[in-house]
Amino acid sequence: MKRLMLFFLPLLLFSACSKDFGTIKVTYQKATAIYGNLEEIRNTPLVGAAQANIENPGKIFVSDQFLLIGEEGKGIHVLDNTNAEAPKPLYFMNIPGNREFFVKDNTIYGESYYDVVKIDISDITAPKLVSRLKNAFLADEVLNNKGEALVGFDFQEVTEEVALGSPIHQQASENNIVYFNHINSIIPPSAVPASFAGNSNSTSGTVNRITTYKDFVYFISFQKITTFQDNGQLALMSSTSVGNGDMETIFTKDNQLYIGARSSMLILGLENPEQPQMVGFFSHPNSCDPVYPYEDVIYLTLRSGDFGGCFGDQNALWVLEATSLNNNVGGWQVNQNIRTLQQIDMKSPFGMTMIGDKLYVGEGANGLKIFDATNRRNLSLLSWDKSVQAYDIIPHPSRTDLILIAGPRGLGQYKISNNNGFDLLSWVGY
Amino acid sequence: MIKKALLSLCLFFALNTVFAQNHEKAFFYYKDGSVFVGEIVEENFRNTRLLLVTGDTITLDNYFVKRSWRDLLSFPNGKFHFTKGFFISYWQGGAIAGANQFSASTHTEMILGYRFNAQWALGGGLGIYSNEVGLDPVTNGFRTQDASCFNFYAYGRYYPWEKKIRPFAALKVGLGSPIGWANSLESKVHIQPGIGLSFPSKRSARIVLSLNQYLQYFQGNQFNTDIFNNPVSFDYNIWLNRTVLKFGVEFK
Repeated sequence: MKRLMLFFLPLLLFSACSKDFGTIKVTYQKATAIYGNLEEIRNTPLVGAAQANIENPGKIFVSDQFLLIGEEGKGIHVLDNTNAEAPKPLYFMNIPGNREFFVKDNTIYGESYYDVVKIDISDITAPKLVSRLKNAFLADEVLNNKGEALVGFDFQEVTEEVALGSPIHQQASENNIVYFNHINSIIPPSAVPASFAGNSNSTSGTVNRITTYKDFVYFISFQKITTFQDNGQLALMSSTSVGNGDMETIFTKDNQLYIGARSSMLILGLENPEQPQMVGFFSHPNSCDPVYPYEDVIYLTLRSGDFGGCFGDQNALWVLEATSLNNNVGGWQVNQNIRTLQQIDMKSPFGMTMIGDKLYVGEGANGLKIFDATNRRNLSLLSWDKSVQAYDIIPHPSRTDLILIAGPRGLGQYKISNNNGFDLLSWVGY
Repeated sequence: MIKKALLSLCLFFALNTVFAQNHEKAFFYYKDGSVFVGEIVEENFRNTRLLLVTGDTITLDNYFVKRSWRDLLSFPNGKFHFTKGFFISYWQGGAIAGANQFSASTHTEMILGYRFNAQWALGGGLGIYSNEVGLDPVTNGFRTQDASCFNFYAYGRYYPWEKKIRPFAALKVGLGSPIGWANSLESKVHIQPGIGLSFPSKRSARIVLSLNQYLQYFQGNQFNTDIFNNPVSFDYNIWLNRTVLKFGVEFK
């Protein structure tokens, strides 16, 4: 017994030394909070002077008469597009803090820092702020000691060496927060640099974080879907956590919402549009992806590697079929009633759209692919134009011979030639 | 000074080895239940001559021997330790909670070794080491990550004394191959010094207990994005350092 005691004695000594050691060199974008006077920001005049340059494009909306091109965090460039050969800047619509907007009929829905705004554009030359729902995503603003509200972050790349057991390591380990985590509250940046919100012919883009159904408007963050009702004025109906905290895109088809997430596709039923319910769940390899339900199939792109932290090794276009969706999924009956019909290897697929019987898929810097979708369930590649860099594609709302392509360097309006080629008509650079 | 110390150490090991060889015994179990314990003086196909503790020499007819254990350190209650031959052991253990709350480890090991004499055993082994470590500050706030390894190692054991419960010192040195979250990292070195106790038994299996300091090196890069989709890179250069208590069963 005495010997055993002697054996266990070193336990006490050893346990004091049981601490990992070494360093982790972390290179990251250090975020410095930017604070502002929220009331001043909210009172910014809606119409500002036209700006010569588009610096950081976001969402794009196309109508016969005008183009709306989002400037991330600032607002929307409004261009006269009555002559598609030569769009002209009209003015800049100030929506501070805006990343995403969606256009339904003559109304723009968008977020502005903590708020959701509704803007009437029935007269595009004289837009009107119809409704502002304050603090739509957070119950309260995040304020500093001076009473100013957090309105963003300034990023600077830094490299720091963190020693295991150092104060910051200890603090992060024990408290888990060394930064303000708004992942669940405010719309995060899009995984696609420039993409189409839609066109005035009710064609929606596939890379939106906002969509509508009847008089309801849905916003998705990574974690939550927030539902508003538009009865003239916006009203918050519900805010619900859905999925794995990696939602990226939302698309309405019939009475369902199709959500593209990095690890899955979610289908939410709108039998009760105030509170969408999960009716389908399809798990797939981790990647960035929009979902595009079309007629009786679902087109899903999986992209990894080239932008926005899309990890994984899948670059593909999948054709899926969903049957017998119902409210009994409970969220997690994985892949039940959703089956894969076709898998096509791609390079770096971004947004997509169907024009006639052709599915156009942007491959980013790798060009634009056109698939024959006469048989919706079995696509075949028609052409691959590597000269056109495409993040997203949308048809012109009225001219069937025109297509708009958003790429890394600008927005192009192209005339479609007979052999699936594109003749550039006009170009808005950014 | 160093030379003197090394010489003294060698002398100590050599004397211990010689000393131990004088005490190695053998057990012979007859089919009728009789047990004979002694040093083997002479042995052939038919008979074995055994020197008993009384000083008498007896001759055993091998025909009646049901089972025998040789090269033993035996004790009055009939329990013994082996001093030569192959052995295989299975170990299971876990880290003792230390200052760092994210330092859990569970270890599963297999060792195949050979006892050269009463003091020295050498061999090799493999192990699965399931480690939790706080390494990724972005997705996990430096909280628990699985940094498990599959390791191969050389193994050495030294028994300084011929006690009934035999203390030993042991060392594992090897290479690790990360699995799980850490699979994009390299784990080059695994060192595990330890002390232990081997408990005697009347059979071929015995209980072993050890206290080890588990050191596992990780190196490499990983990439992630923060909540703003900004890239974050990590350059790891770390040692896992855990005190681990293990229990094992050793056969032969």
